[in-house]
Amino acid sequence: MKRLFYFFRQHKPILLAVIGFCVVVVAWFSAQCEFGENIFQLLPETGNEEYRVTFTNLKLKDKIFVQAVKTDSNSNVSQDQLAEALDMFIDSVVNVTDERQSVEHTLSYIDPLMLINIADYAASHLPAYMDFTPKQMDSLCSVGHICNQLNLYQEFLDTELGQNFYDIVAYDPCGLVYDKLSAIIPSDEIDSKTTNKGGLINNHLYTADGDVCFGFITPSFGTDNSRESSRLNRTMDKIRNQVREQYPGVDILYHGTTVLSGGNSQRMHTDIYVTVSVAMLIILVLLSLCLKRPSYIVLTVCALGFGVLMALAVLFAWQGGMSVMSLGIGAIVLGVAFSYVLHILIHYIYTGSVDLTLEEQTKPVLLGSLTTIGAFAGLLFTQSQLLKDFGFFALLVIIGTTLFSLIVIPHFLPRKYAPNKKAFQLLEKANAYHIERNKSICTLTLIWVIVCICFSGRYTFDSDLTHIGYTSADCQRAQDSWAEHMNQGYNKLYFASVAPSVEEALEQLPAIESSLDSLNAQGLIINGLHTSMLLPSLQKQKERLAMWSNYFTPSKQIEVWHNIQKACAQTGIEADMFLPFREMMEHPAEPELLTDSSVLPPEITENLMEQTGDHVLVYFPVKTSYENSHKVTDCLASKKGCMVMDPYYYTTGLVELIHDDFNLIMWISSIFVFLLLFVTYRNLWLTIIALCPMVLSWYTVLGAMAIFGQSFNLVNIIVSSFVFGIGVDYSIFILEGLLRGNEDNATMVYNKTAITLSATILVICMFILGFAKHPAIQSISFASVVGMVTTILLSYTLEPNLFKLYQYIKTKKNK
Amino acid sequence: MKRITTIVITLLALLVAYPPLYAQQSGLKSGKEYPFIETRVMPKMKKTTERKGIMVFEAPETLRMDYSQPAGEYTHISAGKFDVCKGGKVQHLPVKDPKHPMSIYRATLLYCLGGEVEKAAKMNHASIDYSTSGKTKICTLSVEKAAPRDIAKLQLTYILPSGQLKSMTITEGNGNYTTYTIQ
Repeated sequence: MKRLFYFFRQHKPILLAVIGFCVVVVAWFSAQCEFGENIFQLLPETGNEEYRVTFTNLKLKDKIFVQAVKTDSNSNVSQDQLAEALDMFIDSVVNVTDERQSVEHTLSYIDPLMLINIADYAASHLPAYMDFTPKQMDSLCSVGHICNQLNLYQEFLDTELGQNFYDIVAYDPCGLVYDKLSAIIPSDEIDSKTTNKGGLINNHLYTADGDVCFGFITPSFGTDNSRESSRLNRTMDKIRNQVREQYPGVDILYHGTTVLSGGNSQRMHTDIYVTVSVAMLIILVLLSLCLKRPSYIVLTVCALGFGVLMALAVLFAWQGGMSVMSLGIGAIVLGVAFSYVLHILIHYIYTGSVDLTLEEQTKPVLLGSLTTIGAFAGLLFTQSQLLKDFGFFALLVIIGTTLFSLIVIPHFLPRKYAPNKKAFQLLEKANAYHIERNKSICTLTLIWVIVCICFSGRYTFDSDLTHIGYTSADCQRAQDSWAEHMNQGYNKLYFASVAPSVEEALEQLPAIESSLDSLNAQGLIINGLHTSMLLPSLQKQKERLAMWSNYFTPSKQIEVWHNIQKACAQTGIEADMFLPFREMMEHPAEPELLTDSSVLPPEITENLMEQTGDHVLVYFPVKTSYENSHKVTDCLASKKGCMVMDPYYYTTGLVELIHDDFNLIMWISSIFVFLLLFVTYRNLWLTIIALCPMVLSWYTVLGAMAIFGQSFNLVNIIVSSFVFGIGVDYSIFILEGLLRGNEDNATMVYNKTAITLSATILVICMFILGFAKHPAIQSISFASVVGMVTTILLSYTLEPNLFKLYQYIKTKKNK
Repeated sequence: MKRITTIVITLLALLVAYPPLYAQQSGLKSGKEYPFIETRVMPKMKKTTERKGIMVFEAPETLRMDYSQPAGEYTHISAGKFDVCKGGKVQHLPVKDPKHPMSIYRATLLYCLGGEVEKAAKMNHASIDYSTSGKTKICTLSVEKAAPRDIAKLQLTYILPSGQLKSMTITEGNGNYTTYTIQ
């Protein structure tokens, strides 16, 4: 490194050219770097190997559920006002986002003609939807039954609803439709439609209690696009306020995966801005106090900035971009990289000599950075893209910052320096105290470490990824309201029959739904909707049509028509009214899927069926209690072709695998660091002494987490790499100081000053993370602070004592 | 002179003989209240339902039909709205889309009651036929292929010589029809 320094000192233009070139290149490439906001990057590859369906492409999960509710349950806001408020909200969202085309479609108003068209379709395609025995049909087609049915129709057609269904009645003199209706729609849903409180009122959808008017918005982008999600969230927040002003007694609530995704993104950005800003402020203040000269601060910022730009540039060149969540978490690596810069600067401030600084700091800085790189490199072997991004980003930042510190900074150090002796005096005074000689502190530290190690086996790993997601208060309120009003406090789960083709998915659906009957019999579910009744497969329809044709032979047709005529004569109705039925007996409609007819709009059909990639999913919902959710999910997930529409369900097991991977990765990193230290020091005992703080502090973190009831998760597990990296850095610098002579030698003073300053800054920064509101970021704080403090204590207490012991034994052996 | 006189007398004779030539159909007067009877007939069910009320039309697109029998029910049409109250329930029918059947029905009512029969015929892709019967002139709009619930035929009866609208019968594709008789 010294040779390089001399070369560039003698060829300054080349140095400037190289620096300029590097800066331009990394700046240009890093500007191209794309920051993905896909929260699902946190997840391992979805584990249902049989289908490999990617949840990010499914529209069903993207829906935003919108509710118009009364702000005060006792207020006299009418149902019409709720509907108007909802319409205003949804129409405004569509209009405002029209330019960006953020909304694909909405559903809040049900066209009354659509319902009649659906009924019309059902009536005209009745033979394809019904199973019957000849005996049952004989009974239905008897004169007596037809007479009763016609009398019912006489009353029914006097009603407003009945008059709209005149043409449907024409297809069904025998009352076949009504008999099947209750098989398709569970009784509680029929009840909700027939009560005056809820259901479909004035073409708007209301919950059963009539207190909530609801609708849906389907965005045109997936929830993996957190940037668009947060933009849409902000738009909806503004419009909600406008609706509140116009309708004072009404509030608009909305939730869904898109809202969650956007909320996560917004929260994360806010937390990162706040924590990084505060951290930077503290760093600047402390550095200003200690280093005094602005040029040192500029050099520090340049070194860190170069490291970050280089990392982004390489990431762009390698994979096009990285996750913004990785970037946010990666901010903690800046603290590690910063310590290398600090060592160079402080050593120079003390000695005033670049040569001496390079001579004494190159080896420990390189060694420290290499071991830290080794610690973060382990993350590259995990299955989570987010952790890979973080690991890659971290090691690149350290490489960039270290190289800048060793190659560039020495050329720009001020010739005449004026260290703030008071600030350093304070640090020196604190470090001059031989803490390793204080038996109480040493004993307490040892006890703390031993106790934590004893508890280290009891740490927990929370594999539930929903716990590290952020849900805003508004979103939670919306979810609670939905659960209460829509699901009556139950949990509504969504499943799908998945297959390569529509026909296969529909064919296997009845077999899956047969499980619902047994679950219902056990009282585990609340009467799931049978999608197979709405969407029978084409094969099933053909079988039913064959059964229909076999029954309605020409002679049977004549007989049944004769019965209809008789019944009509008795009830005073013209038999010609039922000519459509007569036609249907002879020529039933061809098999056709309801979703292929033009009867249902896309915003409804996509709730029934969806195609993504090479797979077709036919959805069906199941209502159950929260306590039984897991049991029901496990039962249905075990059925062939059935998929749980919850990406977290499949990843929980894989998160556990990642956790297991981590243990292996930690061992690999430890061995790598061990070998590196051994090659450097060529002494087993020195290697062990250097490793001790790192290893013991990690087990201390594990124990502390167990003692204080904190859990590890997929995000804060990265603290392991952080603690490893920092731990080995501090112990290397302390050991370097110890190897140069007595405890008060100059190198030790310089290193301790740098370590204390760096550690103080890092602990403050990690502590600040605890004030973040995002669970993922917040969860990093505790483990990091415990790890940092333990590392410093062990480096300052245990390491010198072990070194003394080593020297004593060595001296005794030599004697 | 003699020739001119002959032509004038001939023309006058024609006018007298063919009052329909000069008695053009007219709609309801804007703002005036018209008592009416609505009769809905389902021939095949042999069902007839009758309602009574007051109708007020205001050009170009406001119509209020308030029923006294049964009381409380109404049909109100105004700019961008088509509201029907029946059986105690109010329906706001969808009329944003001009091609929606409800929009077409709304516009047809307004045109027919406003005297703009040609526009009604064009909207429904219907042919127009005129005939006279005694002191009434009948204008019939016929749609060639109407869906069961769509308008298949519109028959407007006007009193001669004033051309005042007397009744309007809307027949659906399924044969059911509704007659509005202006009193």
